[in-house]
Amino acid sequence: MPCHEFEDLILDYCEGAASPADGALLESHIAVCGGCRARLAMQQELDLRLSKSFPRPALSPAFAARLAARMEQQRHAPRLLWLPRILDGIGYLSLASAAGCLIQQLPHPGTWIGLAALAASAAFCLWETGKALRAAYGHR
Amino acid sequence: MDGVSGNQAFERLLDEYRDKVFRLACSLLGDEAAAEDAAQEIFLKVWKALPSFRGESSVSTWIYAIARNTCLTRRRVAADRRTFSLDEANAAEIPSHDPTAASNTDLRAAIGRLPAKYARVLVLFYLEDRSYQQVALALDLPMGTVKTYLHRAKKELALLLAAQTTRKENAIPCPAMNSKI
Repeated sequence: MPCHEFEDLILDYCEGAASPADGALLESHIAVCGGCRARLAMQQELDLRLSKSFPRPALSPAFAARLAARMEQQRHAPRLLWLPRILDGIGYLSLASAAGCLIQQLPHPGTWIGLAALAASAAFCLWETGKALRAAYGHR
Repeated sequence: MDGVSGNQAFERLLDEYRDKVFRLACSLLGDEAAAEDAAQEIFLKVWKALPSFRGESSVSTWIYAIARNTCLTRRRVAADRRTFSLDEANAAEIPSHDPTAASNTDLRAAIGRLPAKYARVLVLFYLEDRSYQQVALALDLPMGTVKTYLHRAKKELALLLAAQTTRKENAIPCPAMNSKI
């Protein structure tokens, strides 16, 4: 096996990701190859430097308390709760009046298609409203 | 989900993911204070959206997606406010919590010159206790890609560090020449 094929194996070995068989293969190779031995030593040194350079950072002890305070603040924040309801109401009234207009012309065969489209829109609106209400009040 | 069970579920998620999310934010934002601030925003978003979470993806995938999007938005906003040079922007990827920062200036400068995607994987790999799996999950990359990026990063890093050493050696003034001048 030529030396360039050991390049990735050297990196795996340093990262502890080489299989025992691959590890043994590399060890037997570096016993006779000075170039790969030097490459392995260099990568091991780099790995050590990187490990020391990036110790695990820790959150400040006040993190949880700060988050709890922000959540509490958001719970009590004034919200325009009435606005979406009014907009929803206007939407439903528009759908109902459109349905009324179509029903008046019922003998016409095309009106069934219009009514079906309106029913689908109404179902979708109801579903979206339900989702919005669950999101708004789910935590209470 | 009622209010009490919703809050309990959130507490469990917070316990399990706050450190992981914080480390991801560190690797993406490069600064502990900014990462902690981002982690606050991320968990507020999780808390608000938890009642509508429908389990279409796993919880970890969902939380990491929120975390990545929040950090990337913050980076864009920060980039809009300041004019970064390319080197500075890459250097900003590196967390600044290194206690031996002065002795690692060369290493940090070399990491700052790597392509951002390699630097991100490299930093997160060491922050995450050398776990390919955790890096793959956090960055939403296949494990094979993580390994490839990591190996390329290390090979490039070795070359950059070697070049830096050579430059320094060449820059050492020769006492014999100085005495002649």
